[in-house]
Amino acid sequence: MKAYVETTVLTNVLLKPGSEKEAEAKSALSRYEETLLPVYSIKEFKAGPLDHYAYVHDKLVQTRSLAHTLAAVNSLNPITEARRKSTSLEALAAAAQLDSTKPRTIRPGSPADEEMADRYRYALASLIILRWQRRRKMTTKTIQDLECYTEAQPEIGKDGFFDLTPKECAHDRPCCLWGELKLDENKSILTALRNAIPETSQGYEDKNRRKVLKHLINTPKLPLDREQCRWLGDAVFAFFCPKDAVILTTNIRDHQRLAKAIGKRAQQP
Amino acid sequence: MPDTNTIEFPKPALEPPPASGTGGYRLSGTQGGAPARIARHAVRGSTALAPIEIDKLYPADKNYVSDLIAALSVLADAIGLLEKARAAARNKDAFTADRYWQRFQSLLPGLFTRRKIGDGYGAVINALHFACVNQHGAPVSLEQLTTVWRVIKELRNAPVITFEQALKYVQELEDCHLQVYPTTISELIQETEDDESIRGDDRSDERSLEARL
Repeated sequence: MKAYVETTVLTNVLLKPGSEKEAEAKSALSRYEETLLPVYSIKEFKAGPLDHYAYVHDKLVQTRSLAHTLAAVNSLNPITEARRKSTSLEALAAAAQLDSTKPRTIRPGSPADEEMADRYRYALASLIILRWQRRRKMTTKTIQDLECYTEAQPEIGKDGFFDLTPKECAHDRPCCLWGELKLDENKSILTALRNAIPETSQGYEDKNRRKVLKHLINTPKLPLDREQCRWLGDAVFAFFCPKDAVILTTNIRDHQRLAKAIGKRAQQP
Repeated sequence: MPDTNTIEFPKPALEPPPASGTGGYRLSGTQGGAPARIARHAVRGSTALAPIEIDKLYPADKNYVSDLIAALSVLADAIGLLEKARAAARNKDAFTADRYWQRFQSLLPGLFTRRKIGDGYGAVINALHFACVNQHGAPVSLEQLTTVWRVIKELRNAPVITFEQALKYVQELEDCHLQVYPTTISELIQETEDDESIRGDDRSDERSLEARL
Protein backbone atom coordinates (compact mmCIF):
# COMPACT_ATOMS: atom_id res chain seq x y z
CA MET A 1 0.00 0.00 0.00
CA LYS A 2 1.13 3.53 -0.78
CA ALA A 3 0.53 6.72 1.16
CA TYR A 4 -0.15 10.02 -0.55
CA VAL A 5 1.12 12.51 1.99
CA GLU A 6 -1.06 15.53 2.67
CA THR A 7 0.13 18.87 4.08
CA THR A 8 -0.90 18.25 7.70
CA VAL A 9 1.25 15.12 7.94
CA LEU A 10 4.20 16.83 6.27
CA THR A 11 3.81 19.65 8.80
CA ASN A 12 3.75 17.29 11.77
CA VAL A 13 6.85 15.49 10.57
CA LEU A 14 8.82 18.64 9.83
CA LEU A 15 7.67 21.35 12.18
CA LYS A 16 6.77 19.64 15.45
CA PRO A 17 10.10 18.29 16.69
CA GLY A 18 9.95 16.14 19.78
CA SER A 19 6.14 16.12 19.84
CA GLU A 20 3.71 13.22 19.85
CA LYS A 21 2.37 14.39 16.52
CA GLU A 22 5.81 14.08 14.97
CA ALA A 23 6.22 10.58 16.37
CA GLU A 24 2.77 9.53 15.10
CA ALA A 25 3.38 10.93 11.64
CA LYS A 26 6.82 9.30 11.35
CA SER A 27 5.48 6.01 12.55
CA ALA A 28 2.64 6.20 10.02
CA LEU A 29 5.04 6.90 7.17
CA SER A 30 7.10 3.87 8.11
CA ARG A 31 4.04 1.59 7.83
CA TYR A 32 3.69 2.08 4.07
CA GLU A 33 5.78 0.42 1.38
CA GLU A 34 5.92 3.66 -0.52
CA THR A 35 5.21 7.20 0.57
CA LEU A 36 4.43 9.77 -2.10
CA LEU A 37 4.76 13.48 -1.51
CA PRO A 38 3.00 15.67 -4.06
CA VAL A 39 4.59 19.07 -4.61
CA TYR A 40 1.16 20.57 -3.93
CA SER A 41 1.70 19.54 -0.27
CA ILE A 42 5.01 21.37 -0.26
CA LYS A 43 3.35 24.47 -1.72
CA GLU A 44 0.61 24.43 0.93
CA PHE A 45 3.18 23.72 3.65
CA LYS A 46 5.22 26.78 2.73
CA ALA A 47 2.28 29.14 2.31
CA GLY A 48 0.62 27.95 5.53
CA PRO A 49 2.47 26.46 8.52
CA LEU A 50 5.99 27.46 7.49
CA ASP A 51 4.79 31.01 6.90
CA HIS A 52 3.24 31.09 10.39
CA TYR A 53 6.52 29.96 11.91
CA ALA A 54 8.34 32.64 9.95
CA TYR A 55 5.82 35.19 11.21
CA VAL A 56 6.58 34.26 14.84
CA HIS A 57 10.31 34.39 14.12
CA ASP A 58 9.94 37.87 12.64
CA LYS A 59 7.86 38.98 15.62
CA LEU A 60 10.68 37.85 17.91
CA VAL A 61 13.12 39.85 15.79
CA GLN A 62 10.87 42.88 16.03
CA THR A 63 9.99 42.75 19.73
CA ARG A 64 13.09 41.02 21.17
CA SER A 65 10.63 39.74 23.73
CA LEU A 66 9.04 36.32 24.10
CA ALA A 67 6.28 37.79 26.27
CA HIS A 68 5.29 40.39 23.71
CA THR A 69 5.53 37.91 20.85
CA LEU A 70 3.28 35.45 22.60
CA ALA A 71 0.78 38.21 23.35
CA ALA A 72 0.85 39.30 19.72
CA VAL A 73 0.32 35.77 18.43
CA ASN A 74 -2.56 35.21 20.85
CA SER A 75 -4.26 38.47 19.94
CA LEU A 76 -4.14 37.92 16.19
CA ASN A 77 -6.90 35.43 15.91
CA PRO A 78 -9.63 36.01 18.48
CA ILE A 79 -11.94 33.53 16.74
CA THR A 80 -9.78 30.54 17.51
CA GLU A 81 -8.19 31.94 20.62
CA ALA A 82 -10.91 30.55 22.85
CA ARG A 83 -10.30 27.05 21.50
CA ARG A 84 -6.56 27.39 21.54
CA LYS A 85 -4.45 25.28 23.83
CA SER A 86 -3.22 27.45 26.63
CA THR A 87 0.44 28.10 26.10
CA SER A 88 1.88 30.09 28.92
CA LEU A 89 5.03 32.09 28.94
CA GLU A 90 6.15 30.07 31.94
CA ALA A 91 5.76 26.80 30.04
CA LEU A 92 7.80 28.12 27.13
CA ALA A 93 10.48 29.40 29.47
CA ALA A 94 10.55 26.17 31.48
CA ALA A 95 11.08 24.16 28.30
CA ALA A 96 14.13 26.26 27.52
CA GLN A 97 15.88 25.79 30.85
CA LEU A 98 18.50 23.25 31.75
CA ASP A 99 17.42 23.25 35.35
CA SER A 100 13.64 22.97 35.31
CA THR A 101 13.52 22.79 39.10
CA LYS A 102 14.25 26.50 39.25
CA PRO A 103 11.50 28.16 37.24
CA ARG A 104 12.26 31.70 36.17
CA THR A 105 9.77 34.49 36.24
CA ILE A 106 9.82 36.23 32.90
CA ARG A 107 8.90 39.89 33.06
CA PRO A 108 8.17 41.49 29.69
CA GLY A 109 11.19 43.44 28.52
CA SER A 110 13.55 41.96 31.11
CA PRO A 111 16.94 40.48 30.15
CA ALA A 112 15.49 37.02 30.80
CA ASP A 113 12.66 37.77 28.37
CA GLU A 114 15.16 38.89 25.74
CA GLU A 115 17.23 35.77 26.31
CA MET A 116 14.16 33.57 25.80
CA ALA A 117 13.24 35.53 22.68
CA ASP A 118 16.71 34.86 21.25
CA ARG A 119 16.54 31.19 22.18
CA TYR A 120 13.24 30.70 20.34
CA ARG A 121 14.35 32.94 17.47
CA TYR A 122 17.47 30.88 16.81
CA ALA A 123 15.53 27.65 17.15
CA LEU A 124 12.80 28.82 14.77
CA ALA A 125 15.27 30.10 12.20
CA SER A 126 17.22 26.84 12.25
CA LEU A 127 14.05 24.76 12.13
CA ILE A 128 12.53 26.69 9.22
CA ILE A 129 15.63 26.47 7.04
CA LEU A 130 16.80 22.97 7.90
CA ARG A 131 13.38 21.35 7.78
CA TRP A 132 12.62 23.01 4.46
CA GLN A 133 15.82 21.44 3.12
CA ARG A 134 14.62 18.09 4.38
CA ARG A 135 11.12 18.26 2.89
CA ARG A 136 11.83 15.91 0.00
CA LYS A 137 13.65 13.41 2.19
CA MET A 138 10.70 12.52 4.43
CA THR A 139 9.02 10.27 1.90
CA THR A 140 10.25 7.63 -0.50
CA LYS A 141 9.24 9.74 -3.52
CA THR A 142 8.28 13.29 -4.39
CA ILE A 143 5.80 13.36 -7.23
CA GLN A 144 3.64 15.61 -9.37
CA ASP A 145 5.95 18.58 -9.75
CA LEU A 146 4.18 21.85 -10.37
CA GLU A 147 5.63 23.61 -13.38
CA CYS A 148 4.30 26.97 -12.29
CA TYR A 149 5.68 26.77 -8.74
CA THR A 150 9.27 27.41 -7.69
CA GLU A 151 10.47 25.76 -4.48
CA ALA A 152 12.78 28.54 -3.33
CA GLN A 153 14.75 28.19 -0.11
CA PRO A 154 13.56 30.44 2.75
CA GLU A 155 16.09 33.15 3.45
CA ILE A 156 16.76 35.63 6.20
CA GLY A 157 17.22 39.14 4.85
CA LYS A 158 19.62 41.77 6.11
CA ASP A 159 16.81 43.17 8.24
CA GLY A 160 16.63 39.82 10.06
CA PHE A 161 13.18 38.97 8.71
CA PHE A 162 12.36 35.83 6.74
CA ASP A 163 11.73 35.97 3.04
CA LEU A 164 9.62 33.01 1.96
CA THR A 165 8.79 34.17 -1.52
CA PRO A 166 7.49 32.74 -3.71
CA LYS A 167 4.71 31.24 -1.64
CA GLU A 168 2.39 30.93 -4.60
CA CYS A 169 2.58 29.83 -8.19
CA ALA A 170 3.65 32.17 -10.97
CA HIS A 171 0.74 34.34 -12.06
CA ASP A 172 1.86 34.84 -15.66
CA ARG A 173 0.43 31.57 -16.87
CA PRO A 174 -2.54 29.29 -16.20
CA CYS A 175 -2.26 26.77 -13.37
CA CYS A 176 -0.32 23.71 -14.53
CA LEU A 177 -2.95 21.39 -13.00
CA TRP A 178 -5.60 22.84 -15.30
CA GLY A 179 -4.49 20.70 -18.26
CA GLU A 180 -5.47 17.51 -16.41
CA LEU A 181 -8.51 18.90 -14.62
CA LYS A 182 -10.22 20.23 -17.75
CA LEU A 183 -10.25 16.90 -19.61
CA ASP A 184 -13.73 15.68 -20.59
CA GLU A 185 -13.11 12.27 -19.06
CA ASN A 186 -12.60 13.90 -15.66
CA LYS A 187 -15.87 15.83 -15.59
CA SER A 188 -17.69 13.13 -13.64
CA ILE A 189 -14.94 13.08 -11.01
CA LEU A 190 -15.15 16.84 -10.59
CA THR A 191 -18.91 16.63 -10.28
CA ALA A 192 -18.65 13.95 -7.62
CA LEU A 193 -16.16 16.05 -5.70
CA ARG A 194 -18.43 19.09 -5.86
CA ASN A 195 -21.41 17.07 -4.70
CA ALA A 196 -19.40 15.79 -1.74
CA ILE A 197 -19.16 19.31 -0.38
CA PRO A 198 -22.45 20.17 1.33
CA GLU A 199 -24.19 23.02 -0.44
CA THR A 200 -25.25 24.35 2.93
CA SER A 201 -21.72 24.49 4.30
CA GLN A 202 -20.93 27.88 5.75
CA GLY A 203 -17.19 27.23 5.68
CA TYR A 204 -15.29 29.82 3.68
CA GLU A 205 -13.09 27.12 2.23
CA ASP A 206 -15.98 24.86 1.23
CA LYS A 207 -17.77 27.69 -0.53
CA ASN A 208 -14.72 28.63 -2.54
CA ARG A 209 -13.89 25.03 -3.37
CA ARG A 210 -17.40 24.43 -4.70
CA LYS A 211 -17.13 27.58 -6.78
CA VAL A 212 -13.86 26.51 -8.41
CA LEU A 213 -15.17 22.99 -9.07
CA LYS A 214 -18.25 24.49 -10.69
CA HIS A 215 -16.01 26.63 -12.87
CA LEU A 216 -14.06 23.56 -13.99
CA ILE A 217 -17.22 21.57 -14.70
CA ASN A 218 -19.13 24.27 -16.59
CA THR A 219 -16.37 26.27 -18.24
CA PRO A 220 -13.38 23.94 -18.52
CA LYS A 221 -11.83 25.97 -21.33
CA LEU A 222 -11.45 29.01 -19.08
CA PRO A 223 -7.95 28.80 -17.57
CA LEU A 224 -7.53 28.17 -13.87
CA ASP A 225 -5.59 30.87 -12.07
CA ARG A 226 -3.37 30.46 -9.03
CA GLU A 227 -6.02 31.64 -6.58
CA GLN A 228 -8.46 29.06 -7.86
CA CYS A 229 -5.78 26.39 -7.68
CA ARG A 230 -5.22 27.32 -4.03
CA TRP A 231 -8.94 27.15 -3.27
CA LEU A 232 -9.21 23.68 -4.77
CA GLY A 233 -7.02 22.60 -1.82
CA ASP A 234 -8.28 19.30 -0.43
CA ALA A 235 -9.98 18.43 -3.73
CA VAL A 236 -6.55 18.38 -5.42
CA PHE A 237 -5.47 15.58 -3.09
CA ALA A 238 -8.55 13.51 -3.79
CA PHE A 239 -8.30 14.07 -7.53
CA PHE A 240 -4.57 13.44 -7.97
CA CYS A 241 -4.08 10.68 -5.39
CA PRO A 242 -3.03 7.54 -7.31
CA LYS A 243 -5.62 4.76 -7.26
CA ASP A 244 -3.29 2.40 -5.41
CA ALA A 245 -2.62 4.90 -2.61
CA VAL A 246 -4.46 6.36 0.38
CA ILE A 247 -4.42 10.01 1.37
CA LEU A 248 -2.53 10.26 4.64
CA THR A 249 -3.88 13.22 6.58
CA THR A 250 -4.78 14.39 10.08
CA ASN A 251 -7.73 16.29 8.60
CA ILE A 252 -9.68 13.09 8.05
CA ARG A 253 -13.15 14.65 8.09
CA ASP A 254 -12.64 16.88 5.08
CA HIS A 255 -10.49 14.49 3.08
CA GLN A 256 -12.51 11.35 3.69
CA ARG A 257 -15.73 12.74 2.24
CA LEU A 258 -13.97 13.93 -0.93
CA ALA A 259 -11.91 10.75 -1.37
CA LYS A 260 -14.93 8.50 -0.76
CA ALA A 261 -16.97 10.33 -3.38
CA ILE A 262 -14.57 9.20 -6.11
CA GLY A 263 -13.75 5.74 -4.77
CA LYS A 264 -10.56 6.61 -2.95
CA ARG A 265 -9.60 6.53 0.73
CA ALA A 266 -8.10 8.76 3.37
CA GLN A 267 -6.39 7.58 6.54
CA GLN A 268 -5.13 9.19 9.71
CA PRO A 269 -1.54 8.61 10.92
CA MET B 1 87.25 20.51 12.67
CA PRO B 2 85.50 19.80 9.35
CA ASP B 3 83.87 22.60 7.49
CA THR B 4 80.14 22.61 7.63
CA ASN B 5 77.75 23.99 5.07
CA THR B 6 75.48 26.39 6.81
CA ILE B 7 72.10 26.83 5.23
CA GLU B 8 70.83 30.26 5.91
CA PHE B 9 67.08 30.64 6.22
CA PRO B 10 65.59 33.65 4.55
CA LYS B 11 65.32 36.48 7.02
CA PRO B 12 62.23 38.63 7.14
CA ALA B 13 62.75 42.34 7.12
CA LEU B 14 62.79 43.37 10.72
CA GLU B 15 60.20 45.74 11.98
CA PRO B 16 60.25 47.52 15.29
CA PRO B 17 58.24 45.67 17.93
CA PRO B 18 54.75 46.97 18.57
CA ALA B 19 54.47 49.50 21.31
CA SER B 20 52.13 47.36 23.33
CA GLY B 21 50.11 44.20 23.17
CA THR B 22 50.77 41.03 21.21
CA GLY B 23 47.36 39.43 21.36
CA GLY B 24 45.26 38.47 18.41
CA TYR B 25 42.63 41.16 18.78
CA ARG B 26 42.79 44.82 18.24
CA LEU B 27 40.94 46.51 20.99
CA SER B 28 39.23 49.78 20.37
CA GLY B 29 41.92 51.61 22.28
CA THR B 30 44.50 50.62 19.72
CA GLN B 31 42.64 52.17 16.85
CA GLY B 32 44.33 55.17 15.43
CA GLY B 33 46.28 56.48 12.53
CA ALA B 34 48.92 53.76 12.58
CA PRO B 35 48.56 51.06 9.95
CA ALA B 36 46.99 47.83 11.10
CA ARG B 37 49.34 45.13 12.30
CA ILE B 38 49.39 41.84 10.55
CA ALA B 39 49.02 38.50 12.20
CA ARG B 40 52.27 37.08 10.83
CA HIS B 41 55.23 38.54 9.05
CA ALA B 42 55.57 37.58 5.44
CA VAL B 43 58.45 35.18 4.86
CA ARG B 44 60.15 35.28 1.52
CA GLY B 45 59.77 32.01 -0.31
CA SER B 46 56.77 30.98 1.76
CA THR B 47 53.43 30.54 0.09
CA ALA B 48 51.53 28.94 2.97
CA LEU B 49 51.71 31.84 5.34
CA ALA B 50 50.13 34.66 3.45
CA PRO B 51 49.73 37.72 5.65
CA ILE B 52 46.28 38.24 7.10
CA GLU B 53 45.43 41.53 8.61
CA ILE B 54 44.18 41.05 12.13
CA ASP B 55 41.33 43.45 11.44
CA LYS B 56 40.11 41.14 8.74
CA LEU B 57 40.30 38.17 11.04
CA TYR B 58 38.01 39.82 13.54
CA PRO B 59 36.73 43.32 13.00
CA ALA B 60 37.38 45.41 16.08
CA ASP B 61 34.19 46.36 17.86
CA LYS B 62 34.30 47.12 21.52
CA ASN B 63 30.76 45.79 21.96
CA TYR B 64 31.79 42.27 21.35
CA VAL B 65 35.54 41.98 21.62
CA SER B 66 35.28 41.31 25.33
CA ASP B 67 32.53 38.75 24.64
CA LEU B 68 34.73 37.10 22.07
CA ILE B 69 37.73 36.87 24.37
CA ALA B 70 35.60 35.51 27.20
CA ALA B 71 33.87 33.01 24.92
CA LEU B 72 37.17 31.70 23.52
CA SER B 73 38.38 31.01 27.02
CA VAL B 74 35.20 29.15 28.01
CA LEU B 75 35.16 27.27 24.71
CA ALA B 76 38.69 26.09 25.48
CA ASP B 77 37.46 24.80 28.85
CA ALA B 78 34.54 23.11 27.09
CA ILE B 79 36.88 21.36 24.66
CA GLY B 80 38.99 20.14 27.59
CA LEU B 81 35.96 18.72 29.37
CA LEU B 82 34.65 17.04 26.24
CA GLU B 83 38.04 15.50 25.54
CA LYS B 84 38.05 14.02 29.03
CA ALA B 85 34.48 12.82 28.57
CA ARG B 86 35.41 11.15 25.30
CA ALA B 87 38.44 9.49 26.83
CA ALA B 88 36.29 8.14 29.66
CA ALA B 89 33.61 6.96 27.24
CA ARG B 90 36.20 5.16 25.15
CA ASN B 91 37.33 3.39 28.32
CA LYS B 92 33.72 2.39 28.98
CA ASP B 93 33.66 4.58 32.08
CA ALA B 94 30.15 5.96 31.61
CA PHE B 95 29.98 7.62 35.04
CA THR B 96 33.10 9.70 34.49
CA ALA B 97 32.07 10.55 30.95
CA ASP B 98 28.70 11.79 32.17
CA ARG B 99 30.32 13.84 34.94
CA TYR B 100 32.42 15.71 32.39
CA TRP B 101 29.36 16.09 30.16
CA GLN B 102 27.45 17.65 33.08
CA ARG B 103 30.26 20.09 33.64
CA PHE B 104 30.26 20.93 29.95
CA GLN B 105 26.50 21.60 30.13
CA SER B 106 26.98 24.06 32.93
CA LEU B 107 29.15 26.21 30.63
CA LEU B 108 26.42 26.66 28.03
CA PRO B 109 24.33 29.38 29.72
CA GLY B 110 27.47 31.50 30.10
CA LEU B 111 28.42 30.92 26.49
CA PHE B 112 24.95 31.99 25.40
CA THR B 113 25.32 35.32 27.19
CA ARG B 114 28.13 36.04 24.69
CA ARG B 115 25.78 35.74 21.71
CA LYS B 116 26.54 39.29 20.59
CA ILE B 117 29.47 37.64 18.84
CA GLY B 118 27.01 36.77 16.11
CA ASP B 119 23.87 34.88 15.18
CA GLY B 120 25.89 31.95 13.85
CA TYR B 121 27.64 31.52 17.19
CA GLY B 122 24.35 32.00 19.07
CA ALA B 123 22.53 29.43 16.96
CA VAL B 124 25.16 26.74 17.60
CA ILE B 125 25.30 27.35 21.35
CA ASN B 126 21.51 27.44 21.48
CA ALA B 127 21.21 24.13 19.61
CA LEU B 128 23.66 22.56 22.07
CA HIS B 129 21.66 24.00 24.95
CA PHE B 130 18.40 22.44 23.74
CA ALA B 131 20.21 19.20 22.99
CA CYS B 132 21.15 19.09 26.69
CA VAL B 133 17.68 20.18 27.88
CA ASN B 134 16.01 17.46 25.82
CA GLN B 135 18.37 14.76 27.09
CA HIS B 136 16.64 15.22 30.49
CA GLY B 137 19.81 14.13 32.22
CA ALA B 138 20.33 11.00 30.16
CA PRO B 139 23.98 10.35 29.27
CA VAL B 140 25.11 10.87 25.70
CA SER B 141 26.88 8.33 23.52
CA LEU B 142 30.53 8.46 22.45
CA GLU B 143 29.40 9.36 18.93
CA GLN B 144 27.37 12.28 20.26
CA LEU B 145 30.24 13.40 22.48
CA THR B 146 32.58 13.34 19.52
CA THR B 147 30.20 15.36 17.36
CA VAL B 148 29.71 17.99 20.07
CA TRP B 149 33.47 18.09 20.73
CA ARG B 150 34.19 18.62 17.03
CA VAL B 151 31.53 21.31 16.68
CA ILE B 152 32.85 23.17 19.72
CA LYS B 153 36.42 22.89 18.44
CA GLU B 154 35.42 24.30 15.09
CA LEU B 155 33.44 27.05 16.77
CA ARG B 156 36.47 28.03 18.81
CA ASN B 157 38.60 28.15 15.68
CA ALA B 158 36.07 30.42 14.00
CA PRO B 159 33.50 31.84 16.41
CA VAL B 160 32.39 34.55 14.00
CA ILE B 161 30.45 32.45 11.53
CA THR B 162 27.45 33.11 9.35
CA PHE B 163 24.06 31.68 10.22
CA GLU B 164 24.29 29.40 7.17
CA GLN B 165 27.59 27.97 8.42
CA ALA B 166 26.05 27.49 11.85
CA LEU B 167 23.22 25.49 10.33
CA LYS B 168 25.72 22.90 9.11
CA TYR B 169 26.74 22.31 12.72
CA VAL B 170 23.12 22.25 13.89
CA GLN B 171 22.39 19.67 11.21
CA GLU B 172 25.35 17.55 12.36
CA LEU B 173 24.02 17.64 15.92
CA GLU B 174 20.59 16.56 14.69
CA ASP B 175 22.12 13.83 12.57
CA CYS B 176 23.64 12.25 15.67
CA HIS B 177 20.16 12.11 17.23
CA LEU B 178 20.40 15.11 19.50
CA GLN B 179 17.09 16.96 19.77
CA VAL B 180 18.20 20.54 19.15
CA TYR B 181 14.82 22.33 19.23
CA PRO B 182 12.59 23.18 22.16
CA THR B 183 9.74 20.68 22.27
CA THR B 184 7.38 23.57 22.88
CA ILE B 185 8.26 25.30 19.64
CA SER B 186 5.04 24.35 17.89
CA GLU B 187 3.04 25.79 20.78
CA LEU B 188 4.07 29.25 19.68
CA ILE B 189 1.94 28.77 16.63
CA GLN B 190 -1.84 29.03 16.54
CA GLU B 191 -3.22 25.63 17.33
CA THR B 192 -6.57 24.58 18.64
CA GLU B 193 -7.61 21.79 20.94
CA ASP B 194 -9.48 20.10 18.15
CA ASP B 195 -7.47 21.05 15.11
CA GLU B 196 -8.53 18.09 13.02
CA SER B 197 -12.27 18.57 13.16
CA ILE B 198 -12.28 22.32 12.76
CA ARG B 199 -9.33 22.63 10.50
CA GLY B 200 -11.36 23.80 7.54
CA ASP B 201 -12.81 26.71 9.48
CA ASP B 202 -9.49 27.52 11.04
CA ARG B 203 -7.78 27.63 7.72
CA SER B 204 -10.22 30.20 6.47
CA ASP B 205 -9.67 32.19 9.62
CA GLU B 206 -5.94 31.94 9.13
CA ARG B 207 -6.11 32.92 5.51
CA SER B 208 -8.28 35.93 6.24
CA LEU B 209 -5.72 36.74 8.91
CA GLU B 210 -2.95 36.49 6.37
CA ALA B 211 -4.81 38.86 4.15
CA ARG B 212 -5.10 41.29 7.04
CA LEU B 213 -1.39 41.01 7.72
